[in-house]
Amino acid sequence: MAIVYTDTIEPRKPTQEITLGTTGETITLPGNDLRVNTVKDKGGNTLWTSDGSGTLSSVNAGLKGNLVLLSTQTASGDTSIEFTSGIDSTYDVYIFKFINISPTTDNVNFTFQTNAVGQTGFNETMTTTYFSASHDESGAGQNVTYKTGHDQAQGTAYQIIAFSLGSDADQCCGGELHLFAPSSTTYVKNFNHRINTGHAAEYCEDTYVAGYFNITAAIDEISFKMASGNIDGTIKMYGLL
Amino acid sequence: MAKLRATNIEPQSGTNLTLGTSGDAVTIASTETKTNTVKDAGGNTLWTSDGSGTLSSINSALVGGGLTLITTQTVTSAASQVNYSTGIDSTYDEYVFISNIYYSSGPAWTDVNFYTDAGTTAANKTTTAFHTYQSETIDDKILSYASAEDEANSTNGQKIDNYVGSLANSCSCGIMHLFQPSSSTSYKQIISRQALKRHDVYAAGFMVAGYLLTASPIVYVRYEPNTGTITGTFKMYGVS
Repeated sequence: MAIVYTDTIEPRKPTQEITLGTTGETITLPGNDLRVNTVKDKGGNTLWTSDGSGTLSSVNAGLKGNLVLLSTQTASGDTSIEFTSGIDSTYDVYIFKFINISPTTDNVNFTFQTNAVGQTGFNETMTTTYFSASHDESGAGQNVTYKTGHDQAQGTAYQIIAFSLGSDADQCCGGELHLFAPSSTTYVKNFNHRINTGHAAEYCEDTYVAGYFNITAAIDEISFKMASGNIDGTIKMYGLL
Repeated sequence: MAKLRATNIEPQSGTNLTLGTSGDAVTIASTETKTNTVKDAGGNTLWTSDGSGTLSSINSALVGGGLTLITTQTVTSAASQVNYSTGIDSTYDEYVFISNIYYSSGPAWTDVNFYTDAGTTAANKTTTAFHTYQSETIDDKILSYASAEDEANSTNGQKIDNYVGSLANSCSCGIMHLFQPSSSTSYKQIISRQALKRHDVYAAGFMVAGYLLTASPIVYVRYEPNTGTITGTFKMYGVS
């Protein structure tokens, strides 16, 4: 066995490559760890890059799993939460997770709208359904019912996705909205949504909203806001491969 | 091209061996490379293998920020409870529980409940519950509120299904989401949906949602039948 003792191995000339082994061989690195900031495959395709502080970028899609966190936005008294980039043909389904969403004003609705590629304003035409189950903290008011005043028929307003939120410090809502194939230029854009709400009148409401944006233009922006007043909480946008 | 042929290359002194300098490319042209830990140049671990193919300390960017399987409990011996007593903390904003439940012994049917604890104290909850069902054999179908199955500010277990039977092919399967259990400010939101085959040969959907009326972090989740025992598969995921 030939052993070479050295502390550093460098290319014969600066910026030339160092090659270890050839095809069919195995390189074993029995040291405690291998340290490198960028790893590529043999074809030169980047698998990941680290900034040296543990933050990775250019991560190969095959390493990310199928549910990919694209963006996290946390509002604190903001007028809205908008995702104006990242919605494209990369994913067939986009999922928006609502974490501890609450209004700064009591008894207001949580709403959403979208904007199509090349358009201005969040005002796309949609037709929707809305039903919910409710139950009071005192045990009263049990029901599941269609809410005729909360849907839209070819409307362009922001769609209610949680009704009459309370603004007490401990009141909030949590749920998720799925937007399907927003980049299609052929079909309408379907969505469905479920959220549980801490209602201003001290009851919980399990809300289901579904519908479609009746447009064939691609959708690339989405906006969430309270019907009045400002918003607190976190919304995460994921792409589903 | 200069070639160095060797079987081993070891540090001349100390414990570090450096290949190349900044700007150089090091190509490992071999068919495979073996190492147990990869760090970036700053010494931050990107992943570690135990040498048997089991990875740990994986950088979050390499697991996608999506679903991370935290716990799998495969219950093959009839159990009166299935517990998640560790792993629920501030690591994730959302926890997802997938349950494939078989009622294995006891009376003809039971309901499966879940309980949540903040520390050692059962959390109060207010919930809604509604269901849909359809008979396999007669014209009997419905969508209705399940007024006996919800909770109003109580510490009782919350049903996630009902009338699950011990017939060989009766079962209850579904998903529950628990949002930000580590919050020390807000109520904790839950939403659950189960699909089940009831003991009386009905197909049913059972939808529950609500909130846990506590500002204390939730650290414990338990599934438990009203009566008898259950088997099945229970998985807990974190959503980052």
